[in-house]
Amino acid sequence: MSRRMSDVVVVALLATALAAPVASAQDAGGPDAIDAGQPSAPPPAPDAAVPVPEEVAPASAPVGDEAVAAALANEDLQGLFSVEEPSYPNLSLYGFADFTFVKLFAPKNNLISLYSPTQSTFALGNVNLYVDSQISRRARSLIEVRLSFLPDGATTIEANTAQVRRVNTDVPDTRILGRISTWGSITIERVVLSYDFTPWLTLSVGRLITPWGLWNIDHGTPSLITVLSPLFVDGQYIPARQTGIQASGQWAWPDVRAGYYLTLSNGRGPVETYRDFDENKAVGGRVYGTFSYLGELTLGFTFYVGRATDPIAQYVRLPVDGKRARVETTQETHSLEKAVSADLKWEYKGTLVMTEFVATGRTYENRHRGAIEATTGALVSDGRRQITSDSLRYGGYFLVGHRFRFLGTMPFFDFEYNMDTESFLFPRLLMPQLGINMRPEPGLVLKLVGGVTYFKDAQPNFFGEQPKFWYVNSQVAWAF
Amino acid sequence: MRRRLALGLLVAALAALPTSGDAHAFRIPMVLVAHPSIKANTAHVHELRAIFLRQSEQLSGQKVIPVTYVTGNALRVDFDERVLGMSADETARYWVDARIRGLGAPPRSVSSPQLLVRVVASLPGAIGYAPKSLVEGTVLKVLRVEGLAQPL
Repeated sequence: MSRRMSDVVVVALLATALAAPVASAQDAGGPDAIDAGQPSAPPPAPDAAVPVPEEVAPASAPVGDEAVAAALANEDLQGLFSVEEPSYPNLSLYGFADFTFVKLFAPKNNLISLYSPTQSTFALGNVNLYVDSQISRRARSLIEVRLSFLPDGATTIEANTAQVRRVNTDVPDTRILGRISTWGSITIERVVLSYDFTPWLTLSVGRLITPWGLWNIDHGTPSLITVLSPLFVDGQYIPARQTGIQASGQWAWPDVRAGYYLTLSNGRGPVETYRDFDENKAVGGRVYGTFSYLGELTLGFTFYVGRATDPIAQYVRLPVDGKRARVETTQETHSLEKAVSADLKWEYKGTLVMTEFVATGRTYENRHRGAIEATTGALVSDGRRQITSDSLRYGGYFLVGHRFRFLGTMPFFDFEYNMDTESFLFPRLLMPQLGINMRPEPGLVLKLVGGVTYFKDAQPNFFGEQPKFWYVNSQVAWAF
Repeated sequence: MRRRLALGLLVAALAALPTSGDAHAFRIPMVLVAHPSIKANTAHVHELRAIFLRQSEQLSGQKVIPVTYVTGNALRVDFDERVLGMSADETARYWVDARIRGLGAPPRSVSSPQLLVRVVASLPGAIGYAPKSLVEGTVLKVLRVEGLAQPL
């Protein structure tokens, strides 16, 4: 070892030895309170002979039957204390929201500006509300909705004219003269009823968040490390939500947990929330194992198989010539979709490693490929339509970070790769990014991310030569 | 020389930053207690972690109901550090994330060890932790905890 390095090592070791008791003293009952209003407990006495620390059982606290009576007076404990008289249903409301600042470094007239702001922009992202009710000891209802300004501001490109159109939902307020109101929308993220039969079998019905991978299950911005979701999540290489039935369960041993999810749903379709046009249910599932030998390691595997049918053109044949009226479908697409995904998450002493990979293939029945209007207009200058082709989409990411106790700070590195043959404009994408994620309060998250997006094999002259765009995203996300 | 010293101090400063994996230094002697209906005599620390993080409801194949203390309680802080491997902030962050993922609420919490002892003694399937002196002479079953470097 060189003299220079040996100096560094000696100083580092000395400082670490001195710093350890300082860090521990800071950790004990410090100012980082968990809940507002809850006083931080002072460090307890290390004397093993003290049976009950004073701050836990102050002299004025009731003991014995008085404590029981006091407990029964507390509604929150009634369901716990008496299984014959549970306090159900037990309703709770909570949610999360986020506020983002984005800047994409690209010319204002670049086509990319239709997909991401090239001007520095503040944006309100998600406002999600949960209505969670324990209906009985075994039954639970969970409803999640997202409030949004959409469709206001949504951008589309007309197929024939290539004109950029922006949706505007401003309407005159009927109650107040001269006031303009902008209406938004409510997106139903999930509506689920679950019933626990045994630890190995829970049945859920309704509108479910597809239990695949890691990111789709996390989905809430305070829980996500970065600002942007991977493209394969937003692109729904596996449907993000399904309408149907789910069975799930788990087995536990001292160092290992193993679990499963199985879904049966309407699959994909134009109105899959309430109609399955092909009566061919989609099947999916996930199996996972969690190992607690060195930190906690979770490995998962997901599959999805489903047939998507879209009756694009239908009309009613009126009853003529004595024949009954019927629905005629003149154009319909049928496609079979198969997807697999693997994921890994490892947490050890503050270090986090996450990675996922998903691949999905779609094959059309030749007589039911359908036709699509190109979205850019310039492609169909001769008026011809494109015929839908089979597709292969795959993508993955690798994220590593370390969470320090100082304000819950986590610097991280993330790299994403994506290949999508269904994307005419940018089939291949690489996106390395560096960022920092801070959680100064448990329900408050600050994020700052910078990176670059490479569009490989992009259509020539759409985004420029060798399109590469730098960006900065920052976000405040909070749970309430 | 100055550059060496400055570099060494920088490395030392980074090394001194407390990380989420640092262990809590204080100990409060307590025991793991369960309702007499619980058949298990031991519980591994990893099983307890999964139970109190509501990742599992099973102890040796039997359904259990975890009971803990309110946030900020010294016994809970110590238990969370030594069994869950989490600081108070980390535990709070975990439950925020769990709710967003739709995984449910934290275990039921009580305000004092005396109350916990009475609740666990009365609720079939309940499991908790309390100072040993409060457990002696009660109907509670004391479980041995495996996998900890030092006794609970």
